[in-house]
Amino acid sequence: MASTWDVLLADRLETLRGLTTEAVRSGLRNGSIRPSDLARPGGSTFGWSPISDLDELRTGGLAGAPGSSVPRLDDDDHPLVAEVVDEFDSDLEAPDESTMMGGPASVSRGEAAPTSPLAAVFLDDDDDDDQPAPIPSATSPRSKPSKFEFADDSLASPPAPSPPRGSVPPPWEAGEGFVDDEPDPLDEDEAAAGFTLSRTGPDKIEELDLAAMVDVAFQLVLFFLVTASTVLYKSLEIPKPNDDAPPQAATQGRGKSLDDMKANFILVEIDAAGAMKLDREPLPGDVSLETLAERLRAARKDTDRNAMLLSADFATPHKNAVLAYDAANEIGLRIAIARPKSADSNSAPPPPVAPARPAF
Amino acid sequence: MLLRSQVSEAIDEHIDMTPMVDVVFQLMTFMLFSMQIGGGDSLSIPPARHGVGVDENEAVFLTILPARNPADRPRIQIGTVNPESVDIDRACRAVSDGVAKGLSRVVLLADGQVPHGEMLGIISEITKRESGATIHIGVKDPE
Repeated sequence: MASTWDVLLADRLETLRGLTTEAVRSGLRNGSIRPSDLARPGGSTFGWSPISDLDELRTGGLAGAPGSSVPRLDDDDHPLVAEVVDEFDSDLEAPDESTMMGGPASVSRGEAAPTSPLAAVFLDDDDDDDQPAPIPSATSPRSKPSKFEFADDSLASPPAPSPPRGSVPPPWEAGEGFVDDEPDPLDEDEAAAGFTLSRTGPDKIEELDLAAMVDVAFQLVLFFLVTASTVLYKSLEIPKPNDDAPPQAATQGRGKSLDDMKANFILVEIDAAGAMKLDREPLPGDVSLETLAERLRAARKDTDRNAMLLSADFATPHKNAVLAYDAANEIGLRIAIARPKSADSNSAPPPPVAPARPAF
Repeated sequence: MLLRSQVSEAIDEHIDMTPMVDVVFQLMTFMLFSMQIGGGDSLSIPPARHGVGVDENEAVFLTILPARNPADRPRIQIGTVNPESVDIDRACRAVSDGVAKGLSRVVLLADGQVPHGEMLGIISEITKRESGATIHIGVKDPE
């Protein structure tokens, strides 16, 4: 019989060396050592054996206790814990504890311990002064973590170490018969969920979303491009008048009457009221652009004249003259403008003619 | 490892309207400054189907409005934006200044009711001062 034992905590892959048999049994009782952990005689190089297979360690420890397998942390309590448990269990291939320890087969992993006074004795060993002190370093990462630990951003690192399992038995190991007056740390965690000194999440990078700004900037660019385009004014180019005054022109013999010009120009006359004449023939009613253009086209075809002479009254509205200009441009006639009589020169001779100059 | 379902971070899905509002205010400011407040005399330019386009930066524009009284002469204004009423001499000097700057075209934006003889008189005065200027009569597209 070995005096000391080396125990390999399967869940933490930590070796406790030189433990006495009583220390191992105490660890089994307080949960710091589980039957699925491995042991071998201290200082030997023998192969590891499950503690549940070693009768001398099991006797007085968990032997005979109903539900001899120490209830584990409920896997459904937290997915992370469940993941860790599954990982370690799959690596170590722990035997069926309930079957090997002779406990009821119905007690399965994750279930609460049966309501047995003995179980309460096993688990509530804080006041048992006869038992040796629990293994000092027997801390278990399988302790149910608090919410704060999971809310922390340092989840990649292992969970913070919890108090030794044997010091404060968790309620899921106690079962219904477990009576513990001490406040549950989990309850405290839940109560303190609204206030924590733990670090909050990483500082968020408050980066301004520039997408909307860029969109509007492009709209502004387009707007400026459109509005900055050159404004073109539609206009009619008209011939320049002759600088010669009518009396002087008449004296020098350069003045010509409308009848003289009629042989070379299609004569269009507009009176003060806007009535039009073409080659001395009145045009009926309000003359439209199409009507005047058609009459000018017919006159050009008959006489081969390719220029229009506009003789409008001084007081006729400017728009009537523009109508005649536009009609001449419609059929491609050159434009000449006769200087009208002034309003205060009623006795003046017939108006001379401004030099004929094509408008285009 | 924290499962995704356990992440309870609140996601703010509201669009930040601050940049949009800023640019809208900039647009409003730009339009307010660029808008020309109307209030001048209305100008009825005669329509015409044909015509040529004249760049506003390549010509001297004279606006000619009908006289308020039948015995008065038509009013002449220089430019199209905030026009200034001037007499024929001042208008001819403006044309001369424009020709000196290389603006050889003169566009007369005349109201359709301006007497035809008055228009020819203004044209004669301009061409007498600046024989190199080309005279255009402003028209608009027919409706």
